[in-house]
Amino acid sequence: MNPAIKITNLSHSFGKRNVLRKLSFSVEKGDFFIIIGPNGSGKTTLMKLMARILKLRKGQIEILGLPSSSYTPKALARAVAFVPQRLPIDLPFTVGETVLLGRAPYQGTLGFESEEDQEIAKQAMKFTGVDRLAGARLGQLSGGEQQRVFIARAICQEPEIMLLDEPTASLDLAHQVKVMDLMENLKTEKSITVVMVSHDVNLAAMYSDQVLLIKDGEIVCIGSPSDVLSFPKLEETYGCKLLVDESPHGGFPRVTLVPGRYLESEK
Amino acid sequence: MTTKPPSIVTRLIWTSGLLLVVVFAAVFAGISAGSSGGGLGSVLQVILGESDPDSMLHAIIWQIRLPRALLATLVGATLSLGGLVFQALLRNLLAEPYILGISGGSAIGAIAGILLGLSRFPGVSLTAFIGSIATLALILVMTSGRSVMKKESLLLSGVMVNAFCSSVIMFLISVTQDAKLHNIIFWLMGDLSTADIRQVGILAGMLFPCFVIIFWHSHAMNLMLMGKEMAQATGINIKVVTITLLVTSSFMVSATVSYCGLIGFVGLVMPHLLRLIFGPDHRVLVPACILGGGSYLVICDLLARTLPQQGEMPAGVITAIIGAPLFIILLKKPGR
Repeated sequence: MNPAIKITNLSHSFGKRNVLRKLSFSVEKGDFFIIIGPNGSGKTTLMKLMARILKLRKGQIEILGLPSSSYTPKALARAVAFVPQRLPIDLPFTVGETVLLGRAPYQGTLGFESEEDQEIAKQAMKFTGVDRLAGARLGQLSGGEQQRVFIARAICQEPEIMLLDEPTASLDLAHQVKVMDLMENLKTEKSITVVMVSHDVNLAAMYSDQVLLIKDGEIVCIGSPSDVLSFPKLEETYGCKLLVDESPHGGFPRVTLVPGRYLESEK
Repeated sequence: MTTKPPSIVTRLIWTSGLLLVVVFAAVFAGISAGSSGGGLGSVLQVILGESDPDSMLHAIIWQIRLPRALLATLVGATLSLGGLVFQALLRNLLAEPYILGISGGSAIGAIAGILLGLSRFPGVSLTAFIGSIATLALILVMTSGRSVMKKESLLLSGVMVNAFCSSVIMFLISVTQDAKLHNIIFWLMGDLSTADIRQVGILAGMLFPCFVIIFWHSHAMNLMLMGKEMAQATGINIKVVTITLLVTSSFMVSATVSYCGLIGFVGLVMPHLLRLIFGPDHRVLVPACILGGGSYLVICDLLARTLPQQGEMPAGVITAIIGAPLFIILLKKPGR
């Protein structure tokens, strides 16, 4: 079986700055795959290359067994959906209209929606729990609700792979869990392969099947959460003292920051 | 969802139907009013062909007022549609051909064409088009950068491009011989009075394909409001759509500029008003801008012809008097 995404020798640079250097890895179908790494490690660039928002220059990206460059824009949008880090919350449409935009890859140029499109949009809003907000404007919603609206919009693309760039970044604790649970449901109930960039190593530990740790555009480590997070280089990669133990809930690795004042006394 | 909102096709048909009536009413009003009189009844008689074909009113209506009203419709439609397209592409509600300086650029091209003694079509239209594409490229270069164009930098570069264009226009005027001067100056202020029915026909022939192309891309404009990245990830070929829309709208704006000069703010006022009434969906807004913008300029021209006690003033004066204050109000509005 082909992996969902197969990346071979991927490099990318902005001007003279090399952002990604010769990355190779695969994302298996049906996995919850989380990419972690310090700021500026190239996570977002990697994700944008997978979504083909940035043009591939060096290396190969295969989506579902085919080179990503062989897809037409619409065909790619039917296979891969993308939720960016910064959402266009100034969009003048209602929640319902915004979610319906996700049907574009299946529609004609003018995007006249069929009954089926309406139904799919409705189900997607139910799935993410925003169906009661259908008539509201995006600007009136909370950050967590906005995030779920755009996830519903992505679900409307009926993708096999969903890419999300830090969907929990600006959310409070309750909304973080809600969005992550939702991602997990996407995987289990809709068998969508979820690839997510995150800053939060603990969320990665709790939810992911595979974790990719990158720094300076290179792979530091890839594997199960317990492999990667117990990895001795985790501290070195992030450049700070960390405490890794086991969570009493579920036994996944738990990473705790160590404040600077405790470092002094240890010396 | 408690009540099911009407489908987009239904909204499209209702909006177009309603505004079509408005256009007819506006054009009829434009034909009926004028210094040479003629009551509504006798005007109706002329239009229905029940009057004496040799009468004065017959000639005035068919040869002067009707071409002028139709020209105003076409120009108003084009300018407000142009505003709508630029607003969607630049994600900035203040974008408009005149404010961005694109009209100014095509004016330079057009004046150069007039000075070279070219015919209005295709000569002057072509030089106007070249001028508008050049300014468009200039604006895009000036405001290009990492992020989405910022409101301020876009407006500032528009102001600078406009200032530059006016000085070039002034230069061209200062080296012009007297005979051509009157022509150019009147034309600069947005002059609809030179229309004859054949020219209006040629202009319509150039504009209608542009309208169709833009309508064809109306849903892409909806998707592009999400930003380039998300639009692309939803299956839009951003490059192709952006270039098609920019070139099409620059072409149609420069076509109208080459016929009737600079008429400002129509592309600001109409899309804004129509958005308030009909909502943000471009599949409705494109036909609404064509029909609504057309009606608007016919009315503005009607006011320009009838308000002064003697003679008339250019329609551009009216549109600017209405448009400029609205621009300031929009600029002050928070959260844009």
